[in-house]
Amino acid sequence: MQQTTVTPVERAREMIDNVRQELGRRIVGQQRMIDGLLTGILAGGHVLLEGVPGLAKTLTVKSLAEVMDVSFRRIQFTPDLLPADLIGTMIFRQQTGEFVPRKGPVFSNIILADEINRAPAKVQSALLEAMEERQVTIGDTSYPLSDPFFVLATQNPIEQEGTYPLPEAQLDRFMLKLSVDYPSLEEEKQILRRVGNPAPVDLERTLFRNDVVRLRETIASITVDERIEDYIVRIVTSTREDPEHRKMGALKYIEFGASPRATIYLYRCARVRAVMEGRGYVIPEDVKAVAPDVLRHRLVLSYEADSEDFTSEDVIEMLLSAVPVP
Amino acid sequence: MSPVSLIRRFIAPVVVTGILLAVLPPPVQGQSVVQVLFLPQTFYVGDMVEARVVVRSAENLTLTIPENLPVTEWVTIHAVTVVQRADGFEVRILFQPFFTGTRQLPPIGLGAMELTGVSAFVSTSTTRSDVELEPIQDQVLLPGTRVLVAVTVFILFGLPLIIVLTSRWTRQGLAAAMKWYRERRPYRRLARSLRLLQGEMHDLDGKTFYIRLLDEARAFLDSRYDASILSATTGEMPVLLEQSGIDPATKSGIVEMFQFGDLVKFAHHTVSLEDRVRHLEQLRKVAAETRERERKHVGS
Repeated sequence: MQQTTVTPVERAREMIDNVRQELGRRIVGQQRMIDGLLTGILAGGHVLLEGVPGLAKTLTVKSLAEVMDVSFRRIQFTPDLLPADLIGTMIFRQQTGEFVPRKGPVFSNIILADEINRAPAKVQSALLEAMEERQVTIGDTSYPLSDPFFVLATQNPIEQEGTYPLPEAQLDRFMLKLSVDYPSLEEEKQILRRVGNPAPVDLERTLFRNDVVRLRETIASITVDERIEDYIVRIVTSTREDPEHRKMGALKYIEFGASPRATIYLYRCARVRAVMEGRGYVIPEDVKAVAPDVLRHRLVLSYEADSEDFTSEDVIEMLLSAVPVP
Repeated sequence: MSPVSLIRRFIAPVVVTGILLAVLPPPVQGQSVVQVLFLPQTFYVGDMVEARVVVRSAENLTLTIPENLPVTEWVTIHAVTVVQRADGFEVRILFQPFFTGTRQLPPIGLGAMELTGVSAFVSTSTTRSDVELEPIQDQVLLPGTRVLVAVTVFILFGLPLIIVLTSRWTRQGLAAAMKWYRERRPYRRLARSLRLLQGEMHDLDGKTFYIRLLDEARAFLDSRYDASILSATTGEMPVLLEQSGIDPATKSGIVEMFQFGDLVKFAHHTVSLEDRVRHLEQLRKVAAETRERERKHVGS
């Protein structure tokens, strides 16, 4: 009897598929959002979800935490939230007569920062500092955050009254910004049918801490050819100065382009995408697939783009259709 | 400067002026010409000359300028003015001589007196003395002016006329030639590149071979089909080619070639010589089919 050998990439894909399937038991559709969240988690980056209310953003993140063997905290960002509510503070213990640290909800593996743009800038900064440094300081002591540590933030593109939009520098720290769209007609019908069934769907843990480590190792072993690296760099630089694309007219719609951090994230996400597709190597398709989510929040559009009603997606599409594929 | 010219230019006028002064007409009723000065001192036929005749007069004469100035064949007097001086007056005669040699200006009546006997020496630049007076000539043109004028007139009027008369034929001919050249350019380029690639096939490694082959394929397809193949991934290609109306069999062949190429380029798969030859021929076949398709399309 012939024994088939399962490669690490195939095993990784199987694990990811299991998570997808498990999530699919509770979430109808939204495959792009699920894949985006998994990409962020496996690539070691934070994800910002943007979409109108009622698109299962929070449910998806909660469900994802359920299928993973990790701690999860949800923080509802409100205008009166304080940094201490997030990272913790020193409290006085009467019995011992000393101050002891009380760690905040940020000390979890997955943080859902719900409606992140509703909290003031100082709270956003506290979280974003934790995201970047992966440690927080309470009193005089710095405490490392859990590993893995992912921030999945949500924000609502409408109702801007009383919100604190994230500045560009802070947006740049999110690896991906996923734009969550309405489900299709068929998906919406399925959602309706599930509402009729009040039995709760219990999700099974399919991805354990060790699995995440193994997945990351597999992702790190993915082959990225030099031409793919060139392609990634060309895409990102085309948002800034590449004269080759000036003629395409896309650059006039960009006030500020993407930083080299985008190049790094695009590279990492493309590798994850290759694993998700069961490949041990990255092809241009992987780069192109993740480019909109990586670049979307990093482009500051110009007045011309506003006047012509162009969104970041339109401009990214223009750029991608101008950069030759290797 | 030659001695003759020296004599003509400097010595002769001085001598002549001296002689003229010596033979000046007798004073008229208490007036005497004491000095005759020509400005310029040396002048030629056609020059505008001013003669300043200084007349000493004891009496205080009232002089009038004649309405009609005297006219002679050899000289045209343009103007006469009188300037009063302490010891007499100065008559200024602006004239233009047309004959060479020493000649007397015609008498000029000034009312109370008549100015006569004023001689002028008109110099000549020629050595011949038997030359007849020529009428005033037209302005001399620069060499090549006539040719330039003719060419300009031709460009302005002749050329547009020729273009208008032959435009239809020229336009059609030029358009056909351009179309012919443009249509064949991608095929020529591809054929040349594939020939080159075939020649180097044994020396190139698989990855380099497929990079070059697929780059040529992309450039060719991008130029022949209404789709952005240059920026399309292998996964996007089937849809784009289908939208361009390509034959399904040809499309499958192209997609298979690109998928195989991706494996070689990005996954570093080993590749046999047979595969290279197969894909080289496949691209040639695609080019031939595309050409045939275009020919039929033009024919229909």
